[in-house]
Amino acid sequence: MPRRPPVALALAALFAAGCAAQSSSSATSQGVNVASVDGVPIKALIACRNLKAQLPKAITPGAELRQVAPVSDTTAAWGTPAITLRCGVPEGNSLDDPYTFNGVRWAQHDVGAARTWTTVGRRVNVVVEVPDAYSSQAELIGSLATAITHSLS
Amino acid sequence: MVQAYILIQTEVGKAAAVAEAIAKLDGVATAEDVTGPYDVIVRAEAHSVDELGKLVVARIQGVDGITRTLTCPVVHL
Repeated sequence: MPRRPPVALALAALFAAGCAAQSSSSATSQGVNVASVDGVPIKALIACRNLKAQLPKAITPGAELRQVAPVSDTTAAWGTPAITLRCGVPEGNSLDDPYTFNGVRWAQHDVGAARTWTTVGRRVNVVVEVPDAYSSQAELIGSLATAITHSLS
Repeated sequence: MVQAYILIQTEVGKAAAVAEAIAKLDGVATAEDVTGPYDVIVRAEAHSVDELGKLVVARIQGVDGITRTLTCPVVHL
């Protein structure tokens, strides 16, 4: 049987882990329900995993990182009401000019009682949904800039 | 040169102050507060689209009281 190169094995294991996580339907009692992003290419999935490892523990004072359900490398959440992040989504698009916070450009949309902020101009993009209960959304979104610029090209 | 109209929405009651502040920026030809779906309309010009983008993003969006901007480059069809 031919030997597979270690890098290929590692990627296969990562891909399998990502698929398993995305297909999981078990929700924990404390987890925030956040729809995982399906069909994310392997390179983007690795970038999302790196992003998740670098996300701030608190996106704003009092809004700490929470468990998500289903468990996924493509999603994260903070606080109550939950601020949610999904990684590996299409680039943001808006008629309005993009907002730039700490070097990251974002397209913003109002969606009912929340706003979505989607990154613009990156190969791997994220969307963050922030309930209107949070004021100072610019500062809140700006706090993600370090993690995003370090992990998403 | 590239010209554009920049349509701006501001926080309530800030249109006049925003227009006054933007009018002082280099590259801004006119800035007037208006009624309707937008609160301030700016005519700006720059040497290139990139420079226009920098004017909008780095300077106009940095003016206190602005909530959103929409840039409409002038074209001559």
